[in-house]
Amino acid sequence: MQFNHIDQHENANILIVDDDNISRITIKKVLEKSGYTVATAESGAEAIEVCIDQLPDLILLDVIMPGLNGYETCAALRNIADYNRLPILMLTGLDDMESIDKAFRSGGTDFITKPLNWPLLTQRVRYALRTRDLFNELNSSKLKLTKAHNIAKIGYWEYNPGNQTLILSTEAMSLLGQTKNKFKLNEFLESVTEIEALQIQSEINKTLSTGVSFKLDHSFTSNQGLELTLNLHAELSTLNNEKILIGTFQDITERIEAEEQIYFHQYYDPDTSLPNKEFLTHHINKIIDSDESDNSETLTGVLFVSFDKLNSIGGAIGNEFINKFLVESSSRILKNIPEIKDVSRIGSTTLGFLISNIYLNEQIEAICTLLIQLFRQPLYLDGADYHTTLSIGVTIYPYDDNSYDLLNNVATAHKRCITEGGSKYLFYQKDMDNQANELIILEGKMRKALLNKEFSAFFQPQIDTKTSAITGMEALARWIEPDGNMIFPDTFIPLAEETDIIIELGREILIQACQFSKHLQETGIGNIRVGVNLSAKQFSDVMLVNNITSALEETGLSPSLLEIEITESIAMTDINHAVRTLTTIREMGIKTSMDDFGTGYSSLSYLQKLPLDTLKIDQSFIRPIKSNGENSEIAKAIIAMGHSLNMHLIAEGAEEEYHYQFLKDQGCHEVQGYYFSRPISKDNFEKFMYDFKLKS
Amino acid sequence: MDDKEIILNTAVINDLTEIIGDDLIEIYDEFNTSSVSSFETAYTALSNKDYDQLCTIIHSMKGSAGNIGLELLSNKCHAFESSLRNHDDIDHEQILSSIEQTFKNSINALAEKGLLS
Repeated sequence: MQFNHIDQHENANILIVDDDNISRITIKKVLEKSGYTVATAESGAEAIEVCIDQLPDLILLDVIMPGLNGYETCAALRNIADYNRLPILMLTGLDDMESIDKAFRSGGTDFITKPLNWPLLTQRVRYALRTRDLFNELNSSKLKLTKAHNIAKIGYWEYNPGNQTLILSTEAMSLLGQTKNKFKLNEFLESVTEIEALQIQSEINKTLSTGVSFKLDHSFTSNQGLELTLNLHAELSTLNNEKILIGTFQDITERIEAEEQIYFHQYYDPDTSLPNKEFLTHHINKIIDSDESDNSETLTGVLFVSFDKLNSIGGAIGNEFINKFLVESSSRILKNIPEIKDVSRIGSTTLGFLISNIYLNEQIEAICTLLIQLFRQPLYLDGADYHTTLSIGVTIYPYDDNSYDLLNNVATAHKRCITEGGSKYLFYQKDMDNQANELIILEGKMRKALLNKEFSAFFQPQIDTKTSAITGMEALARWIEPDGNMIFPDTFIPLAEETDIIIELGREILIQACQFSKHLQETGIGNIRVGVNLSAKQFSDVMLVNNITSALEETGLSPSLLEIEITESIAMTDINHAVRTLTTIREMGIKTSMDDFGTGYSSLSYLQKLPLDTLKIDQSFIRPIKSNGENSEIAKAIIAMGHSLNMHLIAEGAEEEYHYQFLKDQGCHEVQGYYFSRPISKDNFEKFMYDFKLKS
Repeated sequence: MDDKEIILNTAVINDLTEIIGDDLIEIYDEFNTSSVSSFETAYTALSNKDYDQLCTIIHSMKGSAGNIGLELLSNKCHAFESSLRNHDDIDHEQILSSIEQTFKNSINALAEKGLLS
């Protein structure tokens, strides 16, 4: 607080109102000597005029004057300026109580008796001015404080335990949206939750008995439905020798909301509102901390789960779809596996969670199996069913004993699971780190190999069972390193699918396949239809149709000699997308085929929806068939099913002559397999055709 | 205590001298001049039996005199004012004359002190 105003009074404007000339002059001179600026008026009427024109800082007003007397003048002046703005000191020779009382009642600030005590007069004037300033300062501070309280959303209260009455300040009333300022404590506690009411009551009792103040955050719901979070602060005080509590409410609703928002952004994924990796890490650390303190012997499984090919579908449909997919999956997991308490989003298509308080690895394995089973049922989203399989990576605390290792190792196991084709779970093993490094090296080599054109299409012939002629071939990717070493698809396709390499690799094989078929046609060897496999990523690539069109244009191959093959799992992941894409491809005059038929989820109703020309019966149904016909039942059923759908049927995996014979007998239209030839290079294929023709 | 001290309240005069210095002489000069005319007005009011005006003049003189340390004059004015307000049966002229005499004595006392120009 500043007191500079004390010195500033020297320049204050003072008005002397006295009908007596000598008194006026004397007072004027005395005050002027003290530095005041003094004006005079001979009558009450003149004083009022002066004040209307310009208000002085203080008035010395004689009581007994002709015309308006001092009391009347004072009352009139109070209509112009109140006590706080204008001190009026009444000059009176009448020092009886009645005169003094009259002076105060008419609005006098103070009175000075005549004859005047001159040294005292200056002090009285100074004192009156200082009082006015202090009063104004106090008032302004009070206003500022009220304003500050309003800004800080603070309100005062007082609680008298004797009559159990809570009294609110004006600020507290407005804060809590109340119209009255007195409440019984119980009445007030009705606006908080039951637990909070008990807490508050208990804290109050404690403070009353111990004198220790308390602070407490609690909710508050007013009658009008206003919902607040308040910070309650209480201290012991006394009033008339009785204990009371005084304190403040502070509305911290906005602060709490902001804190919640900060917490949300720190620990939750904004797109799905699922917990995020930070959340999972936090919980892992909590488990490690509590485990260190209670030395428990339980295990905690840390799992990362992704949905095979979800990235591909998401690429086609959008992130919003992926978000919904993850939310739905998360809720399916939480609903069906009580051991899992929270499901966090770890990456764009990966979820992560903990399985706590278990004693055996086998328990985690059982839950992994359950998870895989759980997603055998398609996920229904936006009016369509989506099929997917899971890649699950697992690591276990305390085998890995810190959150950094746990998260790294579970990620390694998860990645490893994906590159091995997914649809399973893998526990982290130490050698995975080396394998992971090998994969990184392999990825680099693959990118280089693409540039160096080290990838070649190999071809496996397909023989018509009626004419025994070669009518088609399947193009398969092979990686031949400069030293002649051949790398098989099992090694590089899963990794290529994980990265964007598969798109470029797929395009390369497609072009080579079209070129070769066109070459066979041009050289007069024959019109040999070529089947090209599409990966999930290629199938959902928006450039797919463009790529096929340009491959045909570039090579000049007739669309009828190209067959596009997709697997069941690709088609079933997003049946609507599959229907749309296959329809477009078919409308171009290209044949469409389902590869590995019988291994996936295909139901008849789905198959009927898909615009397919051909079903390729998976080799796993053909290879086990024995010469005596044993193990042929499933193959028979699948072939019958194909017939009933009026599909062209090609069987894979014919390794023996009797396989071929069986398939021919069953009415399978074409056959491919080692019995005729394994996939071979272009040159070898030409030679094979020549030889085959000669043979037949 | 001599006569002069009874006539003048030296404490008040000393205070005033200390506060306003030589300017005090102007005030006493003004008092001297204005009082002469006040007495004239007072006598006229008395002859007209205008006791209200007489009371106003005496009240004013009481205040002035008291404030500038002419204590005896102020006291006499105070007594006369009270009698006038109470409508006492007194000899107004004699009292006024006595007050005038005190005024003159006061002026002489001031002159002796060098407080008049």
